[in-house]
Amino acid sequence: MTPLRLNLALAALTAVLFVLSLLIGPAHLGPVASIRALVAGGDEATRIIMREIRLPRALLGLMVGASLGLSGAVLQGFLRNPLAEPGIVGVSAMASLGAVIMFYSGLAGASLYALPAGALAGAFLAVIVLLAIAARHGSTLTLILSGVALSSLAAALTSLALNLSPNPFASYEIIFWLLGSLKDRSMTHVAIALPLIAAGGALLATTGRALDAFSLGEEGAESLGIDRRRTRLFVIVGTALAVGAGTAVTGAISFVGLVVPHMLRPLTNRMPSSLLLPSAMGGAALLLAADIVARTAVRAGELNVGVVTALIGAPFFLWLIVRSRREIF
Amino acid sequence: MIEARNLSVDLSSRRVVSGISLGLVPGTITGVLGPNGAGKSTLMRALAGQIASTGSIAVDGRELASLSFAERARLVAHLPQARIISWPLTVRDLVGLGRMPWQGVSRAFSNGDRALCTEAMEMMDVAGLAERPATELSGGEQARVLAARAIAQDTPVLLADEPASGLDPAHQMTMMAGLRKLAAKGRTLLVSLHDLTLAARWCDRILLMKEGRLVAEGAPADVLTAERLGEVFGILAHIDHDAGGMILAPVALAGGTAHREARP
Amino acid sequence: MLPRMNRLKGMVAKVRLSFAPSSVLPDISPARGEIKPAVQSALLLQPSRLARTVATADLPPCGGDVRQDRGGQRRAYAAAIFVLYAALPANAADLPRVMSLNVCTDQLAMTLAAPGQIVSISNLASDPGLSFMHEEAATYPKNRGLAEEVFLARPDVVVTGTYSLHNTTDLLKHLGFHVEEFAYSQTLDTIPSEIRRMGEILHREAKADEVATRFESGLAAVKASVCGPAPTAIVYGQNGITQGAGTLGDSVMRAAGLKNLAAELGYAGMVPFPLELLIEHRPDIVILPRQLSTAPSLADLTLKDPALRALKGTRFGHFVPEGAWSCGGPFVLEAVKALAKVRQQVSPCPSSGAPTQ
Repeated sequence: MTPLRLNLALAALTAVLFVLSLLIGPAHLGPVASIRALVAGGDEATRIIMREIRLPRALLGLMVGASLGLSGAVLQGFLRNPLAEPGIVGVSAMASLGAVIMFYSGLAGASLYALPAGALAGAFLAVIVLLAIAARHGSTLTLILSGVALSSLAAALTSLALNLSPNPFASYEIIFWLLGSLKDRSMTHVAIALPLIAAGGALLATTGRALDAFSLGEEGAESLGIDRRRTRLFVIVGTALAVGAGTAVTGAISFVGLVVPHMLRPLTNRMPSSLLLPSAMGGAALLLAADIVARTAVRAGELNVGVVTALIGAPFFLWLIVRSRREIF
Repeated sequence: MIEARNLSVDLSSRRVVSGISLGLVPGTITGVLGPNGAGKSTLMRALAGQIASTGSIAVDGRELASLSFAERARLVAHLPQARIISWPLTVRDLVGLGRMPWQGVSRAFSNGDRALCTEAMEMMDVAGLAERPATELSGGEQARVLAARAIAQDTPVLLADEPASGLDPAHQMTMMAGLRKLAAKGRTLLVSLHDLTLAARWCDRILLMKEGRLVAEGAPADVLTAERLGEVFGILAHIDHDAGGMILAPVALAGGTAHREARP
Repeated sequence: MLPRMNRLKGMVAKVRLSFAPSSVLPDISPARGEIKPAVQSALLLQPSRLARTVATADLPPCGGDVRQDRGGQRRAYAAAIFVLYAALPANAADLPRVMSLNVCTDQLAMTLAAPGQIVSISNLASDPGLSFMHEEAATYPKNRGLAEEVFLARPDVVVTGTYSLHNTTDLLKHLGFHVEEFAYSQTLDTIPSEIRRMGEILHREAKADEVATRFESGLAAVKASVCGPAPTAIVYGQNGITQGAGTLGDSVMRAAGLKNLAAELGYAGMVPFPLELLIEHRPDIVILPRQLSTAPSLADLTLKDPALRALKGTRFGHFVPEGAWSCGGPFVLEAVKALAKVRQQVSPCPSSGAPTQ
């Protein structure tokens, strides 16, 4: 498939899922009335439902999915490791921990704006620790084990922080932070996350050339005129911004960044750079689809979208490990 | 043309390359020989500007340290010893990476780029593999594909770290013949080797290294004497000549009286 | 009654056979070195395990009226038999000494007990978010709902909720304590009978009857004052939890002359209610819970959702006095009155004068 065709197909898929996401909900509005209310306004209830409930949800699915898909593709390229992914390597969990500490300690009051600061700090810490361990002793096993350790530690500390909160609801929010959700997000969440995700995405998108060169290892990349330190910095800051900001508003969503680059790689020439844009769009499509499933799978209430992505991603992950076990050990 | 003066490299506060000065001449192949750990790879990485060193390095009269990463990559190509191919890229795409320092943001391939890649693949006898995923090739094929990548970079200076190790005898010759063609085009080549005969027959000059120092420098026949081989490698070598040059065959470990008795 | 008593006798006898006699239980201490391993584990290990589970077991399953117990069946009532076997010291005033482990039974006990009759009540009783009688609660000793505390206090009767501390309850029953469990009062209709039942347990039947009758007549007066078309209302709690059909909140809303949107749309029990449906149906009144803690939570932020606040023509407010409908008790009448007042403001009766107080 030519890159143009692939990108057009993914763009079309993402657009369809975005619209579908806007049309799904417990209120029965009808597709035409929904879109009209979204664009032109209309009666109060429909307008509020479309603009204040469904639009932010669909936008966040798009943005966060894209950031996860993109950062998965970048991490895989940079670490030359097909199992790297922000969720598996613990970046998402650490971002959650950062957000949890910042928010529930009341450091910045009960404000949503406190969330990204903590999440970014957590994500930064995770990426730096990860690259320090895994990029130096670059075996797949080391990477996965570091990720497991980091994720477990972050999950334990998240639970601890929430249990220590005097607010009785806090301990029930563990599930949100560990298995994210897009439920009832508002445009405030979009406004908080969008600039940071955009900045992180832009940084990650500039690494394509370097990632291609990294296919030849670090020395090979340097031989091709790649500034290894600068690439490393861009990957760290970009991943932390993109994943941190997303996690701050949706909780940790795993496996999107693993599954998407893998499914799309065979459709490209396998250069890391040609996987970036498709992975961003594919990530958006996957998260939008997973969120639609999360809303429609069970009649009473809805699932956490992280549950759906984990149900897709975890078996996939196992299959990848089985397939490449010689390489790992 | 690449010149180094009083080049030293410390890795983890251990001196790995110690006060080496050298000048490599365009149109020649210089072979670097020395036992494992002599500092050959480190010397090459320092000359490629990849690790910090003291002393000075100049390429075509320009200080290496003053150049940007991209400028450096347009002057010096480095073929690392570690043969890393991370994704199942086709041979053509992989060799095409060599053109990266010359390409703009869009990374579009010009006809000139394609021609250089084809030429490099032919030189390394991998043109027939162009559409194969590089990860599925044999070790020897991968070595030649990676060398073709470095050749496609089309730089005045090429530093090749053990390009011939692991190749079958025929492809060792192919590799060296390819490098000779580059030299004939006026390129400056520095090649580290472990095969003494290969070095003696295909290189114009030899640098002999031991423990980070330059022990000897000169034409193969001058440098690769039985005495020096004993000193530097600790081996006893049978040395012969034919029309094409020297033939060196290590026959025993050097040591004690056996060494003296066996001397020709 | 007789078969029940026999069954209980059998049970208590079994307890006495396998463990120490209940009359000597409080005197056992490890220092005497006479305790069999089984007893030791029951006495020493269990409470420490319980201490952990209690901390979480008493937390909310979800939504508005958190930390209170729910549902369940009433157990056999046989205090007399128990006293026979347990031979615990009698109260000076000849009234059973009561210990309450649950915020709802705390309040019923405080309402009906004679001075000195209450050994202790749960520490949640002084939480203003849960307990309407948190001020009265200040004058009583508190417990944390631990079995060990019951052992030390040796009350004649333990009152608690059906589910809140079921591990503790099971252990206490196993060891021969007289435990009375109260189901979470599901509706207004069950409140008078629960009041009277607590009266029987405390031997304060006359007082209970007085309180229950006052409650019934007060409720009837509010119901009689309801007129005109019923405005739509909904409880929208943290995380969007609502009070659907069959809940105490639902019966309070109906008694106050309000239509419960959640129940109308088929939602039953305490369940999450989609924000979209709330917007779509634009209720006249949205009853918001009070924050249970000043510490932040995402759950509290759901109440500030811009979509919710964008609804024009809907009245938002807490309306109900704090803790007034967290538990079934005579004070629930205050919740009914408060909502009736809001109903009167939203949809005034055509006749002159305010029918409610």
